[in-house]
Amino acid sequence: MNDRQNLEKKLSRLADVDDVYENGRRIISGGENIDILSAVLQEIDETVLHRKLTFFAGPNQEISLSVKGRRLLGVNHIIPVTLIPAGSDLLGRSLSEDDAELIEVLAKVMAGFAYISQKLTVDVTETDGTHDYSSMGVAVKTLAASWSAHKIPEPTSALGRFLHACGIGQLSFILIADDTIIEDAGAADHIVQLKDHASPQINAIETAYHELDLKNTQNRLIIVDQKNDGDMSIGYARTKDQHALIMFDDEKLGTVLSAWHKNISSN
Amino acid sequence: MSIADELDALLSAYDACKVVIFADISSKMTLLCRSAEPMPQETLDSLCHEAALLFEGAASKLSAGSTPSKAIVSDDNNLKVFILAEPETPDVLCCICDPGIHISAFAKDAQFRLSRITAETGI
Repeated sequence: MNDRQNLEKKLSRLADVDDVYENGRRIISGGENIDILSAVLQEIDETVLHRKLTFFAGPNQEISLSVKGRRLLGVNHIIPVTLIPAGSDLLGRSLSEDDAELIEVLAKVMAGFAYISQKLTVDVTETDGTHDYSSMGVAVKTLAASWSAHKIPEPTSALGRFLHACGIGQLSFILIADDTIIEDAGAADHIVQLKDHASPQINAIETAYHELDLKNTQNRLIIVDQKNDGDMSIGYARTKDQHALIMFDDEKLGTVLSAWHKNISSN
Repeated sequence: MSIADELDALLSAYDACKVVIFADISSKMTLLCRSAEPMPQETLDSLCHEAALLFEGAASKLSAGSTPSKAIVSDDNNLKVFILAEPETPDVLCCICDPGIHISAFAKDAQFRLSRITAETGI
């Protein structure tokens, strides 16, 4: 066997013939959140030349990374932008091992990004040079340690599972148990509206429904539209022992109702 | 089309829609009901009162600074869709549907038909 045959054989073995593609993008994870983070890390670790890796985790949920030499150089864009913590300046910045603050922000973004139940696909392209990432980047080992520390824990309550099933980053919410907010997520101004304006309405809604004397239903989701704030909808969800207020783009109505039916009303 | 025709058309276009009523929330009165099966008066009254709660009562205040034009309630039993014609009018459509209904398309269709009802009747 000559050298060329040896090389071809090695290249053939490197090319994974089991790869599955969808819409021209390679499927790299089936959907469990730990798989998604691991799959992203593995893609970075396998990227030697300067490439743009764009990961797609469902409709309107994607993240584009600039990678070279098995190191993450920077983040090009994130959809939805609500995944980025308020006040953070992550996009287009050169990352290095010294940027503890940015690495922390990225870990939070990835935790939200990973918390979806759909498959993950990746599109690899040559970098267009739009961003000037001049630093040395961040090693996969550093990213792995940071991301695993920020992994979002599995919700223990049915209402928590409903909220997370809607897709972190797809809605803003506050989750309430025993009159205390135990979790919130989403756009800062929406959370303020939910806390300050919508939250005081809960008792009045409960009283009104009690007076309606409907069948003693334990679980209820109420959604009303709010046309003075774009095409947003606002909702009140309740189960036996928890309440939640949610705010989301009207386009997500079907997703929210589907998540409610799967996690709450069909159980 | 008459009001009854509009309700019938909505009901027949969506298999997952089981009941459509045209109601007045100021009087909490059902004006017309269309359904695959006979509906108890208590159910109709309950829908009217719930519509008033959603568009004029406590639930309407969830929406800051504006009266909602659409409300959806899902409980252990049903998916209910409520459509208000205009913020200043008391006319509503109240619908009971299966959870699997294509909600966005249905809500738009219901809004369209209610707007035609109010336009033609000059309400």
